[in-house]
Amino acid sequence: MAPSSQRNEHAAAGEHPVYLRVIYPEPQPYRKVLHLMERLAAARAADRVTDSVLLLEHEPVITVGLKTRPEDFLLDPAEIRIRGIAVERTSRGGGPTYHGPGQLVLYPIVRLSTLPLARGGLLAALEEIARRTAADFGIRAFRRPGMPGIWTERGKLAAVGYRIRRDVSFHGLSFNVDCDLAPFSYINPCGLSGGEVTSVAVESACPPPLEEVRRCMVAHLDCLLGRRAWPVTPARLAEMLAGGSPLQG
Amino acid sequence: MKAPSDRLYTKTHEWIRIEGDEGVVGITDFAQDNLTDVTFVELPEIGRRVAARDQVCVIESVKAAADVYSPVAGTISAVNPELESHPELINSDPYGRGWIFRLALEQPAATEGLLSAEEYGALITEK
Repeated sequence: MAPSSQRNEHAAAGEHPVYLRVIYPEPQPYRKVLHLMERLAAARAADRVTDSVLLLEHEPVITVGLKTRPEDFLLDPAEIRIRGIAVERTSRGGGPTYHGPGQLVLYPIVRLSTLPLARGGLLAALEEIARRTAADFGIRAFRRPGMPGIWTERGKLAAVGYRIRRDVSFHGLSFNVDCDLAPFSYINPCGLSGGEVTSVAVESACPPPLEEVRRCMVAHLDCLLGRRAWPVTPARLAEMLAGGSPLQG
Repeated sequence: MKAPSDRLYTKTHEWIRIEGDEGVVGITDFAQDNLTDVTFVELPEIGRRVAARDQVCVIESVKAAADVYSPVAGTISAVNPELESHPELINSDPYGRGWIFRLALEQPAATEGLLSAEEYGALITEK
């Protein structure tokens, strides 16, 4: 049986035919979203919720992955905080990175075994979403062997880092649309020696609005997840989690 | 993706091969593929008693991290010393030299809820 017809069969049987898509209109504090992801991942692992994807921007923050070493900070964290950027520990793999307004982040809280993943797994799927989104705006972006993320000739356009607990992923992809790139120079972003980062705004003569980039990213996301989105507001998601109501799609 | 038929599997992508009253545990090819290049394995403490589905250790890669769970109840009796200097064995040989720990089984037959190679293969391929 062809993979697509199998997928349709599952959809017809009501087994994960959709995922919850939650778009946050305002930049979000990192810690709040981290707590939400941890709760969502636990609920997903217990089958109290279907797969979900959070799409948002963060308030300025440098996040520290499990692999981060003190020498990855090129500027004292206290000095970074004075400049209005939070510094937060996270549960994802990888080194430090920067998030802030103008950068789209995509957090899939999904059961890996239900995804139509090819060789390369979730990492390759997230990189492909970023590569196709860049291509939509005429940007030639590519993978680099041994250097995860999506790159242009100028530098890194998108970064990937995640955690897997009980077959469920959280954390994910960040994609620089039109964000301040200076904070990347305060750290060795995920093992880079500083500097080599870029954004859609740097790469294109006529930078598109963030909403348009998000629209394209969502289309590639649906394609790679092999299912359709069920749009849910952030408030509704919070209600669903608090109420413990069944969230099966 | 291949899953050898001489062992049992969990839905969280561990395998266990029963050898008498002991079990050898590792992660599957699917798990290592989603982790990508493994850089560090936080090996569990020998002598620790674990219940089935308890979190035992964390594996870190260049861009991800994954928790490893015990497929059955038992006591950690050995860990793979090779992983300290060669964590990449998890990627290159997940079902062989990339084994993670050995368990002295609490009940040699307590394997209910584990999946056969065929059932595990169906879990990760039927989309």
